[in-house]
Amino acid sequence: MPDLSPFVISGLCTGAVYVLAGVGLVVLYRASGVLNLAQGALGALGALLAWQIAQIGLPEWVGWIAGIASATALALFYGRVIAPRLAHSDPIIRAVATLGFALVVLGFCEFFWGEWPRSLRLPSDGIGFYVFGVRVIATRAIAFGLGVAVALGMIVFLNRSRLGLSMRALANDREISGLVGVPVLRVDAWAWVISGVLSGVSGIFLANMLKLQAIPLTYLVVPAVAAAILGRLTSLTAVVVGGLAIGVIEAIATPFPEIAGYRSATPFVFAALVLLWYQRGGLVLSRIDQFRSVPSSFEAVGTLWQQLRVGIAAAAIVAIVLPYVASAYWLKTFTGVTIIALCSLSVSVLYAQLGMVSLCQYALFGVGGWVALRLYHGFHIPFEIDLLAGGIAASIFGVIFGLPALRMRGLFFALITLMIAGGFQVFISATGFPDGGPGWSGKIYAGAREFIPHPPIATTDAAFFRYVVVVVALGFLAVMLIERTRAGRAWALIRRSEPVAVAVGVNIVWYKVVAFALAGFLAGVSGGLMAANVGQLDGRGFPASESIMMFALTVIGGAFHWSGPIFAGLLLRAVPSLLTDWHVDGNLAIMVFGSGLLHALITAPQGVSGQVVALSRRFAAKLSAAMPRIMERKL
Amino acid sequence: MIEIRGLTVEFGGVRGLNDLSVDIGAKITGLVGPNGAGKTTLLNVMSGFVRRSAGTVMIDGEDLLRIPMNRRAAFGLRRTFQTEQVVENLSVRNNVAAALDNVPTKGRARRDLIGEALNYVGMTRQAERVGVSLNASERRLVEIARCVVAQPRVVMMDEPGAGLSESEAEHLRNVIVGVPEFCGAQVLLVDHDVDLISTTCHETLVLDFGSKIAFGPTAEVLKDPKVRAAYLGTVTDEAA
Repeated sequence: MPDLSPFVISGLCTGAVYVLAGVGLVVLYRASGVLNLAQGALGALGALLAWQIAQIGLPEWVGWIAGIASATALALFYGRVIAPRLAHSDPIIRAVATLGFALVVLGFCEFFWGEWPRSLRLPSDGIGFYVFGVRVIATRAIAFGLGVAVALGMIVFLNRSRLGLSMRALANDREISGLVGVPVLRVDAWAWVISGVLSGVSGIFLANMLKLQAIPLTYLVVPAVAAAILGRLTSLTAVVVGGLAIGVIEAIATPFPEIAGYRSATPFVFAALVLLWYQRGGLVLSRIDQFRSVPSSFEAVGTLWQQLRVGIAAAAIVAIVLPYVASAYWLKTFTGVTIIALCSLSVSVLYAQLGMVSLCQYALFGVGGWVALRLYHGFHIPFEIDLLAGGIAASIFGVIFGLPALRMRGLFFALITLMIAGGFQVFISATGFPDGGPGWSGKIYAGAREFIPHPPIATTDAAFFRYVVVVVALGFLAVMLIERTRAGRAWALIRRSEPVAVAVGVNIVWYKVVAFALAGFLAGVSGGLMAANVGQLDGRGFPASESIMMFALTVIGGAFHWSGPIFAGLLLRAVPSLLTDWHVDGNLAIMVFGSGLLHALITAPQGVSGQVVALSRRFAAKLSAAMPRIMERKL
Repeated sequence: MIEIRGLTVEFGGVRGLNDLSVDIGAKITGLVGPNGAGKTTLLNVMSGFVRRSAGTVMIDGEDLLRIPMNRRAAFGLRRTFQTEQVVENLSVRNNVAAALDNVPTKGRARRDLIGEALNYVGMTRQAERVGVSLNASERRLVEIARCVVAQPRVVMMDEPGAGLSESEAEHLRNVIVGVPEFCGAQVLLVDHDVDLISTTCHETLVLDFGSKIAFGPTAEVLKDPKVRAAYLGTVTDEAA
C-alpha cells in the first residue's frame, strides 16, 4: 500500500477548483435555470488570454484580470443576448444551447492557439510548505482556500444579502418574482457575472495545475457538473462535498497502475452513480403542463410512398452515379457521410420521437464497432453477421444506458448520457479497439495492426459505397415504418405528455425501451460499417465531444425529417474534408457548427432539412400554380 | 355505476379529498366546486396520477384503484385534461388510432371504430389533418373522439368548454349529451360553467375543501343554499 497522503492533499486542491467551478454552475442554475456547459470553455479562453498577455511581456496580473474579465464579459453577453431568446424553452434545450456557445468559444481558442501543450505559470508556484510531511505548492493551497471560501461566502451571500434573496426568488418562480417587483434581468445578469468570474478563476487555476489546452479545459466542466449534480444542481454545500470527493478519488487512483488509466473516469462514474441514486423509487410522470421539450415536429404530408419516393430515387441515383464521378478520396468521404447519417438517425429517433436528448449515441456507435471488429478478428465470420451482432450489442447497451431514463427525463437524462459518453471515452482510449490480437481485448501490442476488409460481396470502394447506401437506406426505411406503427403513435403520445399517454393506456416504460433498443441498434450498425470502411477504429477517436457533435449536428440538420440526418452526415464528414481540400482551418467549422446549433435551437427548430423541405414545397406550389398559364401560352 | 367509499387524498398536511363517499349512477354527472375543491384531484386519483391515502373506487363492481394505471384505459376509463392534449404531429385519425392501440376492439375493425368516433364528434372531414393545424374547438373534439372510441365505461372531462365561442360550445354540449347513448359510457363532467352543467348533467356533485357538500339531481343541487354560499353565490351576483 503506497503512502496516499500526498495524493489526498493534491486531490483536495484540485477538488477545490472543481468546487469553485461548481459553485458558479449552481448559482447560475438556481437564478436563471441555465446549466452553463460552456463554463469550461470560458475558463479555457480566460487562461489562454492570461498566458498570451504574459507572453507579450505585460505584467502577469494584467493577464489574470484580462482573462477573468473576458470570461465574465462573454458569460454576461450570452446571458443578456442569447439566453433570453430561449427563456421559455425546456431546461434541457437551454443547457444544450450552451454547448453551442462552448463550441464557438472552443473553436475560437483552437483557431488562435492550437493544441500545443502550454503551461501557465503563477508566481506562487515557486513557494511551498509542508503539511503532514507533504510538500504543498502555494498555488494549490491558495486554490483550496479560495474554493472553500467562495463556497462558504456564496452560501452566506445567498442567505443574507438582498441580491441573494432575489436570486432565491428567481430560482423559485421567475414570473411571480417579476410580478412582485424583483428586477429579474438585473438579478439574472449578476448571476451570469458571478458564474463568469468563477469560470475565469477556475480556468486559470486548472490551466496551472493540470495543463493549458483548450479541449481538456473545456471538458473540465464535467467534474464541476458532477459535483453540482450531487446537490441536484441547487445545493452549494453538496457542491463542496462533491467537488472535493471527486478530486480526492481521482488523485488516490494515481499510484495504482491497474486503475490509474481509468482515473479520469471518476467524475463520470461519480455523477452517473449519484443520478441513479437520486432516481431510485417508482416511476414518476412528468407534469401535464411541462414545457414542450422539443419543438413541434414536421407535418407529415401524404402517404409513406409519397414521402419516400424522393428519398429512394435520390439514394438510387447517388449509389449508381457517385462512384463514377467521385475521386477515391471523395468516395471514401461519402461512404463516411452515409454511415454517419445512420448514427445521426439514431439520435433523431430519440429526439424527434420521444423528445429525449441522448449525448451517448456516438459511444454506442463505438460499441457496435468494437463488437463487429472483435467477432471478425476472433472468428472470421461473415461481415453481415458481425454487423448484426454489433447492432444487437449496441442495442442492449442502449437499453441499459436508457434504463435510468425510465425514471429520469429532460436535463438529468441528457446529463447521464453525457457521463456515459465520457466514461466510454476513458474506457476505450485505455483499452482500444480489437485489431487481430489474442484474448478478450483482441489487441496487438507489438507488430502491425490487422484490418477488417470490405465484405466479400463488395470488395471495391465503389461496391462498398453501394453496400453502405443499401444498409443505411434499410435503416431509414425501418424507422419510417416503425413510426407508423403503434410504437410510433405511442412515442408521439409520450412526447406530447406522459400523463396523456398513460391515460390512453400506453405502457410508457415498454415503448421507451423499444426506442432505446432501436436507436442503439442503428448506432451499432453504423459503427460496424465504419469499422469496415476504415479497416479499424481508433480508441482515441471517441471523445465525449464527438457524441455532443453528433447531437448538435442532428439538430442543425433537422431531426424531424428523414433528410435531416443526411445533412448531419454531410456536415460532420464532408464539410471537414472540403475544408481540408481548401486549406481552411477545421476549427472554423467548429465555430460555425456551434453558432449553427444556437441558430437552430433559437429560430429554426426543424433545422436545415425543415428549411429545404419548406422551400421545395413553396417552389412546387408556385410551379403548380404557374403550370396552367405556361400550358395556355403554348396553346 | 361508480361507487366511491371513504376516498381520502393527502398532500402533505392538506386534504385534497376528505373521506368522500358517493354513488354515481346518472348517465352524465356534473362535478362542481370552487378552485381547489378537489374536482381534478378526484379525476387524478381515478386515473392513477395521485395516490389515495384511504378509500376505494369501484366501477361496475371492480376495484378501479387496483388496476395498473396504464391498464385503466383498456378497462374502460378515459379522460380529457384541463389543457388540451392533442398530439400535434399526428393526424386527427392517428390521434384516435393511438388511443385505440391500447384498448380491446372486441373483434371490430379498427377503421370502422375510428370512423364512427370521428363521425360522432363531427371531425370526419378533418380526419387527415395534422394536430398542429387544428383550432381550440377541433382539438377538444379530437380529445373526445379519443375518449369515446371502442366502448368506454367512464369518460371524465376536465373543463372541456373553456375558451370556446358560443356556437362551438353549443356543438360541444350536444356531443357531450350524446356520449352515453353513443358508446354507453357514464360521463363525469368537471366545469365552472353552470350553464353547461345545468343543461347537460342529470346529477351533480358539489365539492368544497375536498368534501361533498351536496349531491343529487342537478336542478335541486344548484338551488341548495349551501351550494350557493360555497360557490354559486359569486356567479349569480356577477350575473345580476
